[in-house]
Amino acid sequence: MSSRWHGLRVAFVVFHALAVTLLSVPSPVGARQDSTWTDPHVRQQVLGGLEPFRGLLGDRDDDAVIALARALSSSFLDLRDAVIAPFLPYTRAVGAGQGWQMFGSLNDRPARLRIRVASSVSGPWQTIYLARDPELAWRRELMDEERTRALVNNWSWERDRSQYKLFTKRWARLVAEDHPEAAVVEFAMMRFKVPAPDELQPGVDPPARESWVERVAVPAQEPR
Amino acid sequence: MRRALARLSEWVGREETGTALALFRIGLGLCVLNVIVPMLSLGVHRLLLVDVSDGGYRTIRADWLLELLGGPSVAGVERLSVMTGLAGLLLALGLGGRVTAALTLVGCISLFKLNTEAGGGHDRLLTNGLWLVVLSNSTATLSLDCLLRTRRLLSDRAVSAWPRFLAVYQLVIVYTATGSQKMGVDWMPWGGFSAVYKALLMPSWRRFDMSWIGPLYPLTQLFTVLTLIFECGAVVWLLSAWFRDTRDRPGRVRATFNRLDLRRVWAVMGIGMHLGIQLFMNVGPFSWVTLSFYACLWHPDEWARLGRRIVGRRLGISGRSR
Repeated sequence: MSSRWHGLRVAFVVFHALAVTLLSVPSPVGARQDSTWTDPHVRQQVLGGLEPFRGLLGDRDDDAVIALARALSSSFLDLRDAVIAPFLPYTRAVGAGQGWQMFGSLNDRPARLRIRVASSVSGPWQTIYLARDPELAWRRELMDEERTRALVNNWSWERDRSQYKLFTKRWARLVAEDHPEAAVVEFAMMRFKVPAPDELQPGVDPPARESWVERVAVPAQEPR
Repeated sequence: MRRALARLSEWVGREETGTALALFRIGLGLCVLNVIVPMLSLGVHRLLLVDVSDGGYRTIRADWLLELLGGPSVAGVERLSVMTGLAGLLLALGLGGRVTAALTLVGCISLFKLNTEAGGGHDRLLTNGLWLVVLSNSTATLSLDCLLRTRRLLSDRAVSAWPRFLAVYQLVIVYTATGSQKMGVDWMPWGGFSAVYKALLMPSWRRFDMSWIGPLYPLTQLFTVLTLIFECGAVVWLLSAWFRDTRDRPGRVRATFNRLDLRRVWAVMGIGMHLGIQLFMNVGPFSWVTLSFYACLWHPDEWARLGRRIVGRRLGISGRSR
């Protein structure tokens, strides 16, 4: 092998290693969005994570600490974006994108998707699906498929409600195929607080409250 | 600096037999099938990956490949999925060399970006791995290409080792990055090391009812700590490789690494973690994709020795590095 070709190969290996290294440097999800910093869970996580260091932050109150964290995140992201810009065309073209924030923080108040049907808006409602419930298992395999789970997980974090609304409109038609008697399909994210270990009771679901309730008359849209 | 460059050049120029890369290829090919087959058989693609005009739930934009195959319609997405799945199957079987690998890669890239909200880290790791397979001669052995070329399934044809090194490096990057981002209070002592406990109760990811784990909370706390140690300490694999490579140099740390083979210790921890995740949680093919990378942790010589031990006879390959 010619030394020039080998030199190019060495340069490429270094370039690739540098690209994946720089792109893997954390980019806080949603750090540039206003909604992120007003999210109670995010605030709790940031304040909780910085708790041991509050002494170093002077007498800043919680809002000031959040503002400082946001400013630092923003500056960091600006720097990161500038550094990785030359590598992005390459990583996008060859599928070498990075981004490995997985379970970085846990959702204290997750939500399960619930689907109910009724022959009229006034009810009575019949629950046909509750995520991970063995009996309320409408189209369980479809709902358990990993891409469906990943999508629904966004809404467990109360992210992107517009996509949730689109989802419910489409899913309502699917429900109607299996439940022709239904005139209304209701979707809700049943939010619960993760019980402490001594509060966890085998076989008992923790109390949950409805959020993101969407009722869709079926057929919701023009059929295909 | 000159010595470092010389070492880097020597390292990139290394050759070895292709067993490890072949196992890596087979693993990733099977992972592609693991993604495509359930998606198609359950019809998930019709709802999540197809444009709203053809039955999906949202607007979907097609890239050049999907446009060639018919656009973001049911027919187009199914063609793309089937093409990618078939390419994945051929990749696992080792037919078509880098062309098949490239086809699998572009198919996956095109498919996964249709709806990134319905994807995950496993998509990214899979395409990263597939790119390394494209860069390597992964069908030199344990492949139909090898069978057609030599009439044997195994060959000691030399291949470049650097893609395998980059695969190990990518694995270390994944773990280090994810470990360093575990900044939530649940990963901290002042959060009770409750992260694993809570993760097992997440409705999005749990595989079955986990309401029985309350009494096992101390065990989950231990696993939380071990997870952090494992992920943040994944650089051990790079250090192990460096110390093995320079075993002739003095140093107590080097000697300890070489004596204890911490690479194996970390691999056992990682395999245990991923199997545990796979048992109790449903996070898609992430564990299988990651474990495919583990094939690259061992030199082909070591895989050959393992093969001989399992089969109980000489395999007829030397596994020599050059």
